[in-house]
Amino acid sequence: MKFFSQIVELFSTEKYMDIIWEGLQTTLIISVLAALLGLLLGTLVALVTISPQSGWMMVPKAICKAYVTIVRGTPMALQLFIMAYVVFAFRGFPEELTATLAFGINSGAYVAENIRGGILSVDIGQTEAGRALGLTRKITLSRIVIPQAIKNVIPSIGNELIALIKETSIVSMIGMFDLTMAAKIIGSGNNMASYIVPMTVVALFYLAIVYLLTFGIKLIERRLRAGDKR
Amino acid sequence: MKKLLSLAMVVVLLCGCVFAFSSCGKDIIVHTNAFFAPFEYYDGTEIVGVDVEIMNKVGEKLDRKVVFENTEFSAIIDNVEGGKVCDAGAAGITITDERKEKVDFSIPYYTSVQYVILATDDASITTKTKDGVEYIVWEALAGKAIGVQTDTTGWIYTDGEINATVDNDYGYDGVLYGTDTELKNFDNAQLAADAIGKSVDVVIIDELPAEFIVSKNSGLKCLPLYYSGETDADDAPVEEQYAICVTKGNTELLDAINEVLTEMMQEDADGVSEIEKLVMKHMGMSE
Repeated sequence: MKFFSQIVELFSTEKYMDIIWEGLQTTLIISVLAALLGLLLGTLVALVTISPQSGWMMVPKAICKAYVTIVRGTPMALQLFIMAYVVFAFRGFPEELTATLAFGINSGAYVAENIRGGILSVDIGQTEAGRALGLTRKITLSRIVIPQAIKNVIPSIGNELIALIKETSIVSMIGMFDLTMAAKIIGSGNNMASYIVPMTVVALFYLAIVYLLTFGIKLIERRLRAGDKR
Repeated sequence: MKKLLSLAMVVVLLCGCVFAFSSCGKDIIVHTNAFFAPFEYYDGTEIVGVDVEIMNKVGEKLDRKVVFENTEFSAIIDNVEGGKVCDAGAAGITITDERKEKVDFSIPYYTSVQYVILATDDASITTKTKDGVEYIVWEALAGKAIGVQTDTTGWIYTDGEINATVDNDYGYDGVLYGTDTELKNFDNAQLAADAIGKSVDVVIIDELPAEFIVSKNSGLKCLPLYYSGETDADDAPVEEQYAICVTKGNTELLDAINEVLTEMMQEDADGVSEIEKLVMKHMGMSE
């Protein structure tokens, strides 16, 4: 029963809760900013990738393809490490920004593929019909294809956001004070001197964040599907 | 909306750059691994410890602010060598020849030996006693799973003893070579200590952190680690010396650190130096 008494001890000690609060803030800041950056970047990259082949579009298309390949093909931990110790290795560069950029760029590649998949999932007949009615390519995409695509994309974007939040736990690798680092600190020699209890408690915090997010995504999905006859 | 978002990102980026360059060269940035009590550890959300107090004195001397940043122990030497993200490393770093090639070390300020942490009821490891001191020799660890913190001297020694033979790059015979002894790396010693009795049998780490961890865990004990001599009387531990490292060529900072350390190692009337007092103070906090 030492386990449960230690959980109570952790929750009732102000010092430990301060540490968790500090870590929670970092985790939330990085997750939210990186998610926004990822969505923005992902949308842009997806739009470039699905745009029709033409002479001058070759260059951005190639860049986007390389971006998605490299980011999805290398471990996140390695990307974070390179960002922290090579790219943004400036004195006093805010590490939250380093992490936000690293995770945002990583997330962007996955979001881009999700959005691309969503757009491709809309039947080609929809585009053909729009074009046949005399709508421009742009209008067809923005008024007919994308509204239908969004519905298909939301679940996989939600998936990506959940993965992103949990993946931020690796920022403790570059010494950042996030939730996982909070658990390490509480578990270190001068505090509880055992990792099992603080790690479990922090896991509960991650679970709570992800649960809230899932709830939010469900609401959006329900709203978007309100008109569906199923 | 998208325009607003991208604008916000640009502003954040610019702020970051301004911040990065405004703080350029003013603060002394010190990298550490804050899981090495009593030399550096987290008290609440603050990094405290013996090394922190030493570096704060250096900062006072140079009239510059000292900022401690927590990072992986294995990254500290490389970060200090590059000198781009920090000026110095203070993490109870032992002076070794390999590290000397990359960074400049201050004068040593503390002498330590390696300790073995093991479960109190572990009878499978034979201990020896000499002059009233119970100790463990390397040979007693044959066939065990040994947990260490990556890149610490405990890791360097254990890796050497397990993998070295005269025929390979190491060029000497390791005590545990060919004995089926396993080396397991952990982020920090506490994590390794948590694994005792599960994935590892013993943990090798410096003396004071070992005692710190053991004082907090009732099921663990720690004993000094000795190298076997010709006879039992020759059994002895390997002493190692801690120093603070700075980027090569940063003589201004190195001189200041050496000055502060020299002052702090002066023994007072009772024969106790300020460093020893700090160690006792921070060890005391654990109880």
